[in-house]
Amino acid sequence: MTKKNINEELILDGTKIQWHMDRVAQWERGERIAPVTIDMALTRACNYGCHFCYAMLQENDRSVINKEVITNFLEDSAEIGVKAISFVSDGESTISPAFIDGVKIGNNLGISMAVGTNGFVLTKSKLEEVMPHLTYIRINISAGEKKRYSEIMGVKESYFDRVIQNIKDMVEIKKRNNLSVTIGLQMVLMPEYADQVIPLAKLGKDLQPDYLIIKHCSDNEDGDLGVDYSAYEKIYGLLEQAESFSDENYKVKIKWSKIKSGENRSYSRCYGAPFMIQISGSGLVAPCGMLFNEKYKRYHIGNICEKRFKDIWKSEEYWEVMNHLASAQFDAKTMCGTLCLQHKVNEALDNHVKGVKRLEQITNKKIPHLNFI
Amino acid sequence: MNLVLSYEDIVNKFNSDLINKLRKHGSEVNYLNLWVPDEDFLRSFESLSESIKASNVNTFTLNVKKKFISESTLLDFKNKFPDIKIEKNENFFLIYVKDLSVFELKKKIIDKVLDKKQIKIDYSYGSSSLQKSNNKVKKFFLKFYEKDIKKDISYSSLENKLSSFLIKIDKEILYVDFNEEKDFIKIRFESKNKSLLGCLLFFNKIFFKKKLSHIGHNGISEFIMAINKSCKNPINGIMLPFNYGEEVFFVNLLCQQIFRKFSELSVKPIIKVSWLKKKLNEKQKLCKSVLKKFLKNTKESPNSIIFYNIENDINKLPIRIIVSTSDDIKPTNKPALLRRLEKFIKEEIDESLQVLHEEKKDLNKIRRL
Repeated sequence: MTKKNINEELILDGTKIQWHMDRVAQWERGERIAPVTIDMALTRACNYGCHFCYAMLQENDRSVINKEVITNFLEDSAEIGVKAISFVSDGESTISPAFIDGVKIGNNLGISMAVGTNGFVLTKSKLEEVMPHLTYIRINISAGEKKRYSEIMGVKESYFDRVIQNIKDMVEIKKRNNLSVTIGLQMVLMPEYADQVIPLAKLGKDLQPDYLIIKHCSDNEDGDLGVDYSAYEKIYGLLEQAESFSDENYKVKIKWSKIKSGENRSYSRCYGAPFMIQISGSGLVAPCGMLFNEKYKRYHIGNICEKRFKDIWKSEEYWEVMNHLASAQFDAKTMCGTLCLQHKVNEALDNHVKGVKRLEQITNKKIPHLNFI
Repeated sequence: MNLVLSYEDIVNKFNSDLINKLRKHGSEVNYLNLWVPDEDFLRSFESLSESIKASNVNTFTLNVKKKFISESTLLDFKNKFPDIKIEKNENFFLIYVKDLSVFELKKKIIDKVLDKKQIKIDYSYGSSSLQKSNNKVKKFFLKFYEKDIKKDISYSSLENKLSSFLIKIDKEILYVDFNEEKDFIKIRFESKNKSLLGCLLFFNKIFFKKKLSHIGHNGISEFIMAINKSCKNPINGIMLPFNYGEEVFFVNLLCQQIFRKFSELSVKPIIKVSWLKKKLNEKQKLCKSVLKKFLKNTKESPNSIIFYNIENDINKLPIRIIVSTSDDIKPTNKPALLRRLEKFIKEEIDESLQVLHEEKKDLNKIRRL
């Protein structure tokens, strides 16, 4: 697949659940389905202090995910039928000593692997080890100028130079070795960073990753991060302008559906969690990252540092929690933070149950990143 | 500058900070901020060299205890870095790196990501509900029909002052009757299918005087919950209208049509007036007494769960009961116990109430720009 085809086919503002109707059918029949995708972190620690960090709201008890724990987890995941794992969630996985092995072991087991990272420690030697095993690598970068990068990301200005160099190295390594990995930049946008939208779009054009995605900022149900969702509308023009920096090899995409829907959900039931769970960098298994904090303890299902993941998945506790989220006793409109990772999957499944838009299998279109729904 | 490092010390600090230092991990020492240790010593060493080189330090000495380097690792190291001097001591090695400026690490790279294939199936909407008839649920509806057989839901039984709209599902015709306030009154339906009639009689009972908009948004989920209270459906996975048999699937199609017609209307949470009218101290007293009852019933120690507070949700409704838990409960048992407590409180006080645990705050303050 040429670079141009990859860019055109990428689904960055939607869900790929329709390419997994086998799993939807199993779900409908009442079978215990393995998640298609698991999003997790290998640690809750981070070498940055980003202003927009949602993980700051999700503190929970910390355990260590070492090589043994991650190996067991990956083997269990492959065994039960998990198709993809992304190292994103609530910590900076690249600073975990288990990161490189985690990526390689997962890929060797047939699981699609990906990482979301600030990119700071990903020097050439590490990139050369992990990039051949990754489906995508996504750099969190919410500014295109050094000073503002330092302010927003909570680090010294010199970190900007290092990250830019690392991105250049990524692009060069990919090109030189003809690797299939997709390199993306992601801007988590709070309205107060609007001044960085165009500088970042321009910077991306110079660096030439495969894409730059600009997305909303998630907040908890109490609005503790202070995201002003009404202010996004004022910068729609700026975002459209950013999209105009796209070219044949570099796409600038805006997650319009989430930015425009703001804090609002159309659905109350959380049907998506069984298809796409999240695991904290502490090892805590929860339906999603919105529920990692101790205050949601009633939804905590286990910890992979203490118990094998396949045993957690098989447990009555796991299915009791999943059923609760899909029941009338749970209302995602009032009991959850905004615009979660599972949002598009939830929306699609809720529309499917309500008959608003029935899911249909798509067979005539091949897409990249198939297993990251 | 000749940098001398103890490998064990820097590894211990790094690992300790992963647990204890919450943000800006690795930022204290410039020449270490790109380094990530690894069980594979070679990988760890390469990362360390890159980090030191990036901070413009050209030489360093590394004291490495023997436990970190096996004989085979030592051999690999010497093969990979023939120019680096290693001094062997009783319990440790000293690795002398003289000139990082010539340090270039190159790996052979081949793409290892395999193309992933889609699994294709024959799929049609609702086929699972039609293929397998759910006997337990069907029996329940039949029993309900026998019990409620006298209730008149024939087409001619429209009452005065009610409105009605027609719904067609497959070949069946139903009428949904409602009042001026858009409260649901009943379904009128004629059929020889007794289990379906029983199902709709049950529907009429569950949703009598509930808002149509509420039924559109939440009806099928509440219907399934109501069935479960009377009849345990042996579903291992998620309980859905697709796996409760053709009658419940039919009800889902009915709810879909109600949703289409009334989805624009807002749905208000249903909370007992008796709860809302109570003063805060009355609410607190009630919660404490229900908690005490729960702990007695479950034979847990009286201090294992402690009532903390009542908070408002995002709609400013006082429905969040905050508790804390003590070490009397094993950590792995806490989630399940809290779920049972929530279920108990919903039954004893109000269905809308939620049980949350005392929050754990990140020790760093949320940054404001």
